[in-house]
Amino acid sequence: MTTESIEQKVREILAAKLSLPLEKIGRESRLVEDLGADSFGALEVLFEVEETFGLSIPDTEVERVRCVKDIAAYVAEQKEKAPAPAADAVADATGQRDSESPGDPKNPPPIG
Amino acid sequence: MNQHRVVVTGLGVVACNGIGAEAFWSANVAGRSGIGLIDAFESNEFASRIAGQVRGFAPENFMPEETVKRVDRFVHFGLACARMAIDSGKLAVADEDPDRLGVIIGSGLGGLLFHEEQMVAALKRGEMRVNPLAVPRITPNAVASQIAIHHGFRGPNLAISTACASGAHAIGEAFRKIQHGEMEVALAGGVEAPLTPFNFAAYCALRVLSKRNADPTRASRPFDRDRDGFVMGEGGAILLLEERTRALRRGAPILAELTGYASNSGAHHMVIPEADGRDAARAMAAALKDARLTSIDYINAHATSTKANDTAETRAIKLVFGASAGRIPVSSTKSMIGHALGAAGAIEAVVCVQALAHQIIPPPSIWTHPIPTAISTTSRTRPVPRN
Repeated sequence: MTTESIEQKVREILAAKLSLPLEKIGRESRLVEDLGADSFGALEVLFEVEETFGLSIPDTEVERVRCVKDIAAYVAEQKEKAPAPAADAVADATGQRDSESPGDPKNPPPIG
Repeated sequence: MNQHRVVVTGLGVVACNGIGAEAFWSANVAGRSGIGLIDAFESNEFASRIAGQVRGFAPENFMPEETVKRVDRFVHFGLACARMAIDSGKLAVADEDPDRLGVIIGSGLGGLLFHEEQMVAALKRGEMRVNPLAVPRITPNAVASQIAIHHGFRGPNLAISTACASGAHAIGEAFRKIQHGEMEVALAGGVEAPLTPFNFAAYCALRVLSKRNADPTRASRPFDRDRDGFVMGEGGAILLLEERTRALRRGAPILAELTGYASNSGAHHMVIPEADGRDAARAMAAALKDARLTSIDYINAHATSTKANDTAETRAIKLVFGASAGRIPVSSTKSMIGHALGAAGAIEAVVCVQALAHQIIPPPSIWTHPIPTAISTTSRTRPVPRN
């Protein structure tokens, strides 16, 4: 994936998780200060980024990823270190996601 | 002790036969059942495949879109009921002292739906794939907390989890706190979203559910000779309770007054009542004494449509009211909506408030083979008798 496509995917995650229109989310938009995410919102965004790109963001790195650009750069860096993506990430990137994935707005849980 | 009087000024309800107090009441008076085949999950393998499943419920009509995504179905029910109770009671929260507004909501199971989904995710994909909001979504106090957060109620905030009594206990405990001056206004009730594969399987394993799958609207038949178990339901109800003088001062619609409450335990069995009915009788007698009442116009029975419950409850009514038991009309809302577990007592409290407000006793929807008893189980809509 190119940096641009990662950034675009990150923007889409933020839009979905924070219930914001995509056009309000720029490269420099910070989760808390600019986009109004509370602690739960920020956690959900990071969880979804991990799910989508098949990686794990350790606690020590959380402070580093404060805006779209930061998150995308972190993802790209991890991808370079481990170029073979997890099965999850392939499924996500192609939209073939497991319908039982938690918290996916396109695949709501069976009830509700 | 000088106690405050407590009135009901607003109602919110989500049930399988009606969303909103008026739609729900119309369905009750018409004897309209909301029970049908389950489509909330794949139920083909289950012995029972019917339930009082709430359909056509749009949580986004009652809360922000972001909240809809972040909370579980039982909280959707709670936030919807709270919104309706505040609106129908015409309570302007911004004009109130928030420290005097409390929330007490019962739920037997909490966020079981999300819990199950997350367990499946953890088993399939590893524990590190558990959603970070699992804790605040699953906890049984999520309803009371979310209501407080959304409406700015900063007084006492409690969750009560006492199985099928949860909703009734929540109302009773809120009544006490207002009586004692601990708060002036309360949102009190119960919610439940029990239609999940694991929970349904667990109740099937207990062998307590009706298997009348071919005839869903006639499956829940309390006090009927041919009953074969209860039908699970879902939904919620919340009452807006207020100290009476302040309700009068603000010109609130006063629908009913709560005058007595009591609770106890049979110390007997987790799911079966003592067959002689003495424990339920003790609770009823204590509530009547608390209310300083001797005569009753109507009993909305717990009446689950299981032999163990209905028999014990019939005996309890006879123990309390003696010879006059036969003159008190008894009906069961569960005939139309099934048993919504922790929400049941609150939903049925809404029926009682509306029966008083409209002076009408709602019937059960099904009455094929009534069992001859000394109590007056009612089979038709009728006016409240004057004693």
